[in-house]
Amino acid sequence: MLRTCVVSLLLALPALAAEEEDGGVLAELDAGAAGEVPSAPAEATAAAVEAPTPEPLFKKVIDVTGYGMSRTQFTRARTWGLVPTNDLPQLQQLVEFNAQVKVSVRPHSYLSTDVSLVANWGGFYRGVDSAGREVALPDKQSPQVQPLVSINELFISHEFVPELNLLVGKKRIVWGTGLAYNPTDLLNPRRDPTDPTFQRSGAWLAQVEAPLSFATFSVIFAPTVLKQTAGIPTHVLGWPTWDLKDSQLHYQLAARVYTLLWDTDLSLMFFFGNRSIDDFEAKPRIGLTFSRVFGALEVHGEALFQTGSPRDFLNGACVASTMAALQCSIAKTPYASKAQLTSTDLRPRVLVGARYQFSDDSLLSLEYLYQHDGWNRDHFQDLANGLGLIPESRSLGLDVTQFPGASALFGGTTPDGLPVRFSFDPRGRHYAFLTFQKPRLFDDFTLQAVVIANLRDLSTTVTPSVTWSATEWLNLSLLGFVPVPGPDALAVKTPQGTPITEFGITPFAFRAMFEARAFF
Amino acid sequence: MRTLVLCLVSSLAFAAEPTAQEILAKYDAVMGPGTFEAQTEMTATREDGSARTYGMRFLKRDADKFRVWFSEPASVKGQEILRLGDNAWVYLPNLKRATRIANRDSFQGGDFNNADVLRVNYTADYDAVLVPSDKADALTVELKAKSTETAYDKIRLTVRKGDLQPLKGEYFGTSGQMIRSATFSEHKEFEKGFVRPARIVMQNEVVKARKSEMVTKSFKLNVDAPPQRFMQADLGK
Repeated sequence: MLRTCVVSLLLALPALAAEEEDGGVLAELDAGAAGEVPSAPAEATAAAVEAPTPEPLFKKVIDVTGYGMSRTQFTRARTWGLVPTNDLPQLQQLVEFNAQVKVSVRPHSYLSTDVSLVANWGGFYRGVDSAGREVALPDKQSPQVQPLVSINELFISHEFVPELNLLVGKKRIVWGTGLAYNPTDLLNPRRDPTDPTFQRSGAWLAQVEAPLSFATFSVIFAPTVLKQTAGIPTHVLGWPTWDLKDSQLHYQLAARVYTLLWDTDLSLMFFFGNRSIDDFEAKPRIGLTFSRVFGALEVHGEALFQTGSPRDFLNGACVASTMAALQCSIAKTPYASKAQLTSTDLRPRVLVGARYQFSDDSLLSLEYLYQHDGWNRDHFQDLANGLGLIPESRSLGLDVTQFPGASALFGGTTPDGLPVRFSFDPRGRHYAFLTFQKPRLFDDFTLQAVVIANLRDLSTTVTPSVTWSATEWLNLSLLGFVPVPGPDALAVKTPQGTPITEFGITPFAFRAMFEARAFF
Repeated sequence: MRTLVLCLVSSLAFAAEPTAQEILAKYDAVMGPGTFEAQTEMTATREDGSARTYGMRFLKRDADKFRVWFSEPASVKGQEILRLGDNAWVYLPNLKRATRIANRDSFQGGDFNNADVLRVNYTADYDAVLVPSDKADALTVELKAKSTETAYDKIRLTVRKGDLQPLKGEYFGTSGQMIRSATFSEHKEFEKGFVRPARIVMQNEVVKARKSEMVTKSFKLNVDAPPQRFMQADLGK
C-alpha cells in the first residue's frame, strides 16, 4: 500500500510542480495585499466590481457637531459656616448651546471652532442678618449668573509638509498625562476634576510642530489675553495705555519633545513665562510626563519643576487678632502676599496615578498630587485665624474676599467666565483623586463617583453621579456634590474653637444637579 | 486502481493543504492588509434588544499602525483611536486630549474588543496548529497566545478550504471559557483581486443576548497614509 502511494505521489509530482510555478498557496496568501486575484468563491466573483474613479485632489468638507445642554442646580448655602454665602445662588439654571465646526479650507488646511452660548439664571440667595440668623436675600446679578459667549476654540491649522505644521488661534493643548489635574498645564483654564468634559476652553497661541519618526517637537507662543469682550480678545500681551497696570509683556513660551520609547509616552517640556497665568516674571520651568500600559493597568505621572511659588500666603501677623487686622488695614498692609515669588528654592509639583480597567469595563483611577509650595498646617492655621475674624471683620467693613483662595470658596467660574460645577484650587500639599466608573449598568446607565481628598486634614469632596444614555443623542445625568469635613483631630481651629478643614469650609452643605445634554 | 485513485487524491489534498501558519498569514492578509482605508458601521445589540450604531473610518499602515475616526452617532463624533505597535490611545473631543487604552478594552462598549478591530496580526500574537474541522469544506486552526498581552488566550479559527477566507472564530479567555464567537459572511471583492468578509457578527457568549455586527461599506487598498497620521500628536487634528 505504501509503495502504491509513493508511486501515486510520484505520478502527482508534475501536477504539484505546475501548481508551484503558479505560486501555490503562498502566492494566494499574498494576493490580498498585492492585488492579485485569489480563488474567490462564487458569491465573491458574482459581486460587482466597480471601476475605480479618480480621487479629487481636494474635497471641501464641513463637519458640524455640538450639543444643547440644560443644567438645573440646587445648592444648599451653608449660612451657618464661616464663609459668607451672600453671592451664592441656591437655585441656578444654565442653558448652553455648543457648536463645533470644522472646515477644510484648502488642501492640508482647516479651520476649527468650538463655541458655546451660555444663558444663566440664579436666585434664592441666603445669608445671615446682624444677629446671625439665616435670612433670604434679594436676587442680584452676581458674576455666576451672567450670560456669556465662550469661544472655547477657534484656530486654523496648516500642514506645510507632513513633517511640519502650524496652528494659530485659540486651542486647548494638554501635554500632561494626569486625568484629574495637570501640574504642567501652564496654558489653559483649569478644568473641573469632577467634570473634565465640561472645560474645553483653550488658550490663544501659535504652535509650530514637527512630527518626526523618532519624536515630535512642538513650540508654542501664547500671549496672555488681558482684556476681552464677548470672548474676543481686545488686548493681548500688554495692557492698554488707558489702563496701564504694568508695562510688561505677558506671555508663555513652551516647548516640548515627545517620544514613544519602550512603549512609554515620554515628554520633556520647557516653559518660559512672564506674568502669564501667574505673577512669575521671566520664569523658566521644566516639565516631565510619562504614561505606560501594563495589561489592563495604565500608570502615568507628570512633574513641574520651578523655583519659588506664585501662591498667596496669608500674612499671619495680620490675622492674629481683630486688632492686628485693623492695624494692617490702617497701614494698608496686605492680608496676603506672594511671599515665595522670588525664592530660589526648588518647588516641584508632582502627580502620579494609575488607572485600572476591569473586565466589565469598569474603571478605577487613583492619583496623588504633591505640591511642594502648598500650604502646610501653619498656613491653614492662618486661614482659620482669618476666618475666625470674619464675623467681626464684616462689622468693621473689612473685605474678606481678600483672603487667598476666596474666589474658589465663593465662586463657580473659570478665569474666562465659563461656569463650572466645582471650582478646584488645590492649596494644600498632598491630595488624592479617586474615580470609579461603572459603565453600561442595565446597558444605558453609567455610575460614577469622584472623591477628592486633602490628605493632610482628610477632608473630601464626594461627587456621585448617574448618567442615562436615553438615546444615541441624549444623555440625562443626576449629580451630587457633598463636601465632607475631616476629623477634628486633624483640623486647624479658629480662635473660637471651630474646626477648619479645606473642604469643610465650602460655602455650601451639598449641591445637586440635573443635566440633560442633547447631541447633534 | 481504486486504491491508486484514493491515494492520488489524498496525496494531492495533503500536498495542497496549507499549514497553520499559512492560514494565519492569509487571515492577516485578508483582515489587515498592509495599507488600507475603510468605511465601516458597527451595530451593538444590547441585552434589552435595543441597538446602537457607530460609523467610523479606518486607516492602516504597515503591520501595526491603525487609526480610527468616529462619525456616528453625534455623542461620539470626533472621537479617535490610534494604535501603534502594542500601544493604543483614544482621543475624546470633550477632553481635548488623548489617553491610553489597553488591548482588552471593549471597542465602543460593543462585543468587539480593541484588539479585534485594531490589531489584526495573529501571526505575531499567536502560535497555531491545525485541528480537525467540523466542516468538510473548511479548515480549522487553534491559536494559542504567545504572551499575556493578547486579547484572548486561545482562538479557534475556521476558514474556507480553497481561498482560506475566514468563516468562524471562537475566542477563549484564560479560564478556558468561550467568551466570544464570530461569524464572517458576505465575502466581497472590494478591489480587483481582494476579497474579504463584508459582515462580521461577534456574538457575546457570556451574555447571549449581546452581539455586535461590523459591516464594511468600502475598502481601499494602498491608499496614501503618511506616517504622521499615526502619531499621538496628530490625534484631534
